[in-house]
Amino acid sequence: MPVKTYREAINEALRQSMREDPTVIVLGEEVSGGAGCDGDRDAYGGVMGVTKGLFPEFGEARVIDTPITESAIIGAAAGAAQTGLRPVAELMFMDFFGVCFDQIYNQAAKFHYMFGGKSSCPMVIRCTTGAGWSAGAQHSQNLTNMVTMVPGLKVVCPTNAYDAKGLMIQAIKDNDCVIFVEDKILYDTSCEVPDEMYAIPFGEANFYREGTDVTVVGISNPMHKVLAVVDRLEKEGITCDVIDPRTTSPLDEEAILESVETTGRLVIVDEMTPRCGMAADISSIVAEKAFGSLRAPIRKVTAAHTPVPFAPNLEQAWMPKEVEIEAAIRDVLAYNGGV
Amino acid sequence: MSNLHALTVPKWGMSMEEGEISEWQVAVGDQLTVGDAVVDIETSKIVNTAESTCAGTLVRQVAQPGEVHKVAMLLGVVAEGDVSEAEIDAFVAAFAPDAAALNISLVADASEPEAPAAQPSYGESPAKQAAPAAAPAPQMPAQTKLQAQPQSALSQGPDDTDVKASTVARRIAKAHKINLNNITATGRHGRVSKQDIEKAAGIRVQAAPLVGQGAGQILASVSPLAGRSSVDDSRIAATPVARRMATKMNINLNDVTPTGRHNRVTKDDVEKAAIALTGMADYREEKLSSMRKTIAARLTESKQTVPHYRVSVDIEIDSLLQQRKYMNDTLGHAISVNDFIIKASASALHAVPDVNVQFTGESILKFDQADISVAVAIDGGLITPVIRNAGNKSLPEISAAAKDLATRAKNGQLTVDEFQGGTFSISNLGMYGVDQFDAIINLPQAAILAVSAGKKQPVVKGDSIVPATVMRVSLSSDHRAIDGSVAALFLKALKGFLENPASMLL
Amino acid sequence: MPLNKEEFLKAYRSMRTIRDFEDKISAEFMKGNIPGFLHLYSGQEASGVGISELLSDEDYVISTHRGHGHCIAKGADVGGMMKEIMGKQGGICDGKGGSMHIADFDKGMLGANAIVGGGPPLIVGAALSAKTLGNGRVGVAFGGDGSSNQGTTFEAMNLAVVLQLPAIFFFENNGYGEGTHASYAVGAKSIAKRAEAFGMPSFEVDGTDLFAVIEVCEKALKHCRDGKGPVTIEATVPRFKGHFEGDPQKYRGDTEIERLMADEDCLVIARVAAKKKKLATDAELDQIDAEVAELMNQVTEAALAAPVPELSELYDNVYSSEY
Repeated sequence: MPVKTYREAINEALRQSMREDPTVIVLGEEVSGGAGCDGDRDAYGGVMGVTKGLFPEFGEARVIDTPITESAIIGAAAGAAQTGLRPVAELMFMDFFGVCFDQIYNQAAKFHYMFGGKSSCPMVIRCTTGAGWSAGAQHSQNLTNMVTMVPGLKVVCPTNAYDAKGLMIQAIKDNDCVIFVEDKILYDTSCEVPDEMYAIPFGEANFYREGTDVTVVGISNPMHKVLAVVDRLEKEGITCDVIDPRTTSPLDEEAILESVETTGRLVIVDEMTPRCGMAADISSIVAEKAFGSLRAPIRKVTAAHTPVPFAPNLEQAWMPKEVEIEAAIRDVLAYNGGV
Repeated sequence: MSNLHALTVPKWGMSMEEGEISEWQVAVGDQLTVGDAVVDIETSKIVNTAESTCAGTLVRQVAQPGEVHKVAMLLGVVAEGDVSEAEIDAFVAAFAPDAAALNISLVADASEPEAPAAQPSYGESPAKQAAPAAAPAPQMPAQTKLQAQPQSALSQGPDDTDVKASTVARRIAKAHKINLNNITATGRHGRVSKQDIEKAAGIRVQAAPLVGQGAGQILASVSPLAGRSSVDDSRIAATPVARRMATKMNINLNDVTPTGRHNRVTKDDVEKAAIALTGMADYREEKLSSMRKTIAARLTESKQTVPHYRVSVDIEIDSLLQQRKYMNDTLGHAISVNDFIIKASASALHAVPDVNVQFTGESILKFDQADISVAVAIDGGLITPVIRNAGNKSLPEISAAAKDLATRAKNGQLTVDEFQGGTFSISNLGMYGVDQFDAIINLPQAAILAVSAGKKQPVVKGDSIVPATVMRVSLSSDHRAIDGSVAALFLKALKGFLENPASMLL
Repeated sequence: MPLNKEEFLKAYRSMRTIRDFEDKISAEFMKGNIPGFLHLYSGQEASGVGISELLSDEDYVISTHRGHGHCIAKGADVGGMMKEIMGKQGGICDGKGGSMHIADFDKGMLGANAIVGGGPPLIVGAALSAKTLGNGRVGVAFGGDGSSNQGTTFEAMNLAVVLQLPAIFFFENNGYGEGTHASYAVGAKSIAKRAEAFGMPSFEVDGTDLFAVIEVCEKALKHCRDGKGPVTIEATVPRFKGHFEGDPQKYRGDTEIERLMADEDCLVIARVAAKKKKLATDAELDQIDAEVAELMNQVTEAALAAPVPELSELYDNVYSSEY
């Protein structure tokens, strides 16, 4: 099976979906690049290169470069979705939610409900997340929690290329507003990705590893740190269920609860702030629904509760770290003598 | 008719093949029930105690300490009912380990042969034709309960790879040899959930205490208490006695330096560690006698419910001592200071009858007679025999009664009516040299007098300081019934009587 | 092209329906039969009806918080609207939206929007759809003088120009953004002229004159349907009522409202003009007035009698496809 990068996988999902369905359009800043300039068109193909090659194939009617006007972009996508198109809008950085959030959480998320089921909004908002590039406080956040909490939105956060393609195809087919969170750090990671189109349903978690001692849930980027730690611990005989929810809304609660019922111990890792992040949300769900199975307090490993610092050493310190993940796993195992 | 059952070497851990017999915990003739500790066995990894798998009498210890036996080999013989030595011999001779038992695995594995559906019944010896109707199959040792007894109906079915199931559900199905096609799916997106399988198979899968190899040893957790491991120590080799002691004293074997054979922790090691770790030496536990229980209950009740207050006064007893000396040396009596105190208290009660009372909650009972309870120390506690109507008894009568009661109290010969009742108590610790103490009221009484030693002390008389023998007494009173001034008056009267014994003649 | 008799009568009926509907709503609100906030369109009828008469059911409009008039003008069922506003079963949005989210997607009415400036970007999207799918539809974003200042409005206008979309930005300038006068809040001298700076043609019109509105809208729609990009229309209209029902309106001049209702009633102006153009008689128009009044009574009674939504409907329609 061919090996593709996360970036290539999403590109392929978009391309194949656009070939299959003429109502799928892509719009956003620099999705092609070079509009009105003297040099190349499709100069960027997206600042991260995810939409490269779409403009040459589908033209300006379906691959639309926009001015830097997030409210208009997202709002136009929502209005277009209401009226027959299936837009995939790009919000260059998740941090830019602030500029257009009304259109996301007040408009797109609520149409189907407010209008008594008479209007749906089949759109996808692609956005990027992830610290580690010294991109600074306003270009590095993971705000998955801000959209997960909105009823009416669906939120997808793949951590590998295979999942990215399948989930993007599903997102485009889905009739609701889907926020598709791409971790910028993962764009160059790769794995086997089939050439054919396939869809991964929302709300179904993936187990990267299976074990009996601890359940570890990872959201987006830190998942790969989790795997590095878990694989090291496995040599010592400690085995973990490593769960990637893949979508935070809908959330595959049952997968997490079932696993906790058999391990009794839970560590959740995300790159959000400790307040009101996904780790906090999942902690609450498990504490409420599987308290009797827990043999140790639930542990969260998150980023620090500060804006993202610029200096590389500070930024690394800000992020959730492998030593913290390892310590959390050991702590829940050691709690109360391991009973 | 009797039944013989075999106790066999259990299999602890996937890799255990044999064990060395360490120490029998029961003797021939002991009664056993299922789960009783039978014999300590040491393997290459651990020392653990085999538990009885049946009920009955241990009639033969077959395996001896020091011997090494393979898993499923005979340890001992348990009999229900009477049995002859010959029968036991025959049983032992005919014993053969169950082949399936040797292949029992802890975690069901696809490559393992399926265990027979019926429980192997060790108990039936080939010689027995007319076995009693119910030959109870012994329970398998606890660990092997983990093995899946495949429910044959649930394990049949076509390939279930494509059946939608949650990851955990699929895992459980595999471990229990359940075909997902047989399970009604009620989970998210129509998948088989953990709950669906549990319901169908009648099982419940929960988190287990850590059994994973190495997990217990390697968790180098930083414990908040220095030198106090919080890590699982069930895998630390220790003699069973040492382990029991450590558990009792709440010591983690990881904190003990082992010096025993094969690096085991011994009893001595635990004792040494105990002092270092807990600051608590070994202790013996003594059960409460009924007297101790009574004392505990009654005095707790008194202290908690009665509003105690205390008034004390110093009493010069030189005059009293002189009088006593004359009475004893010259007149031939054997009167103690305490006898005087009894008499004086009774007189003071007559003078200040408001102390001779009891509070009932609804009323105050006023007694005309002073029945004095005298605290007597006896083996393991104390008792308070009563000197009735002490106010109308002479000193010699009081003295005789007190002696008699005290003697019989120490010998446990008091009758109930001799130590029940009383309207006022006296507790005297003066013979121990005590300077001052307060006593707890003996309900339902309302007051108690605590008497301390009489000691030579400087006292002020006029403008001079002269030596005198001073004895401090403290009256604890129930403020619900006795007010401060009343208590003070009583003490004033008592002091008067003790400092001027002759006034008791009035 | 000037209106013929049939078209005029239809337009007049639409205006009268809006006027009576809003009056009915106002009365029912006073009686306590309507929950939440109401923002009434009374006085602005000619502008909303004027453009809507030129739109098909497939063309799109999006409205503001003051959306009942646009909804009726676009042909929505008034019975369903009344039930919706009262929060009853059978409401046009199942009671889930209410006055500020009233919509009729079958008639291309994409909803009233409670966020000021929320509409224009969405209509740009509708226009984008129309252009991409090549179905010749246009999208009309109604806005007030207040919303003309919102960033989203400017962004939408720019994007529509850049992508050359068939969108009409229709500003009904009733002089008030809540309790602040447009002369204070709008920096430019004219909303329409300001829009021109974005790169599109604009039109100004007296919004109380049905015929004038129609004439302007025809030009605007031709521009759009010819694929020449967006257009802005600024219609000056009176606001007879408060910003919201219950608004004490202390910020308005002493006799202002009486004067407006006397001098700038578009229904009266239309009647006069129609009679002059020989398009209708008093009797015909009175007949329409009577029919509409009767319809309002029926619709109100039905809505009052309708049951409230089932509690189970709370969870309905959060998502469109399987969750």
